[in-house]
Amino acid sequence: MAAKRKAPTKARASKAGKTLSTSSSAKAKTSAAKTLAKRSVAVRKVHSAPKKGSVTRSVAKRAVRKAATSSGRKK
Amino acid sequence: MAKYPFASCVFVNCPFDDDYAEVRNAIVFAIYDCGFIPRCALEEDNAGNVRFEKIQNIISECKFGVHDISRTELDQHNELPRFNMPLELGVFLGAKKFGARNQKGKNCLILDRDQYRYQQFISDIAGQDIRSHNGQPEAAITMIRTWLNSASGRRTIPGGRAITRRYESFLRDLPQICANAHLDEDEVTYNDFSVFASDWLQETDRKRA
Repeated sequence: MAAKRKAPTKARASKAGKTLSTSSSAKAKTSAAKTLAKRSVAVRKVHSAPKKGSVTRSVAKRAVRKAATSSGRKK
Repeated sequence: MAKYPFASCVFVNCPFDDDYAEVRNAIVFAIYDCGFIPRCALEEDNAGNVRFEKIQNIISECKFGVHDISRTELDQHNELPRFNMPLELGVFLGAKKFGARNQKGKNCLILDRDQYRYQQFISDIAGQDIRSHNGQPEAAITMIRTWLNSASGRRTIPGGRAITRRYESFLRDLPQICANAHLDEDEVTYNDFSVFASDWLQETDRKRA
């Protein structure tokens, strides 16, 4: 039975990154790079804008959410 | 106490004219996507504050600064150079040199239209990190990303191409966002754009999680 793949720990991801340069497995290299890229986006926090614009924050949030939902539907 | 974390604030010192809006918007979006907060004189619309004072306040609240000196050129009417951006760059460098302990950690990226043009009008800044984006938003995004990655030491910053792809996707959604907010696209202010960009990125992250 194939074991379920777990997301690597921070230490393992770091080790993978260090050893990849000498690894001959291009597949492993791509997979680790993808995991690291995903982690970097997941970990970084997007801050809110410091000042509100000409519309209220709730109107802006609703406008963005609605647009994001409709653009997701188009795909 | 500063309202925003010092180490996450990036002072954006760039031209405010429409011709530059494309690059400025790309810079603002890239700063948010890297996990930082763009701060700009345009965010303050309180006419009661003296303009230079509010610029100094924002500079003091930012660890990082992007300074675009590409519009240092002769005014067509009086043939005098426009020097606001080099002046603000000077304030930033002065704060780094003479400011309190946290100000000494300041770090800046200087952008110009040609990498060595500064030598003809502000040669004393030689030795600073000066780059040229040639008016290309994609190049500006990559420069901002690379600089923030190395200057902040953060390892959570996405790659330049990933940011560019998200920026293009955001630009495709922007007309609909404006319509939903009952705004015409030409009415979108700096603060509107800033709010839309940060909200859009937060929403994208939320959907991905």
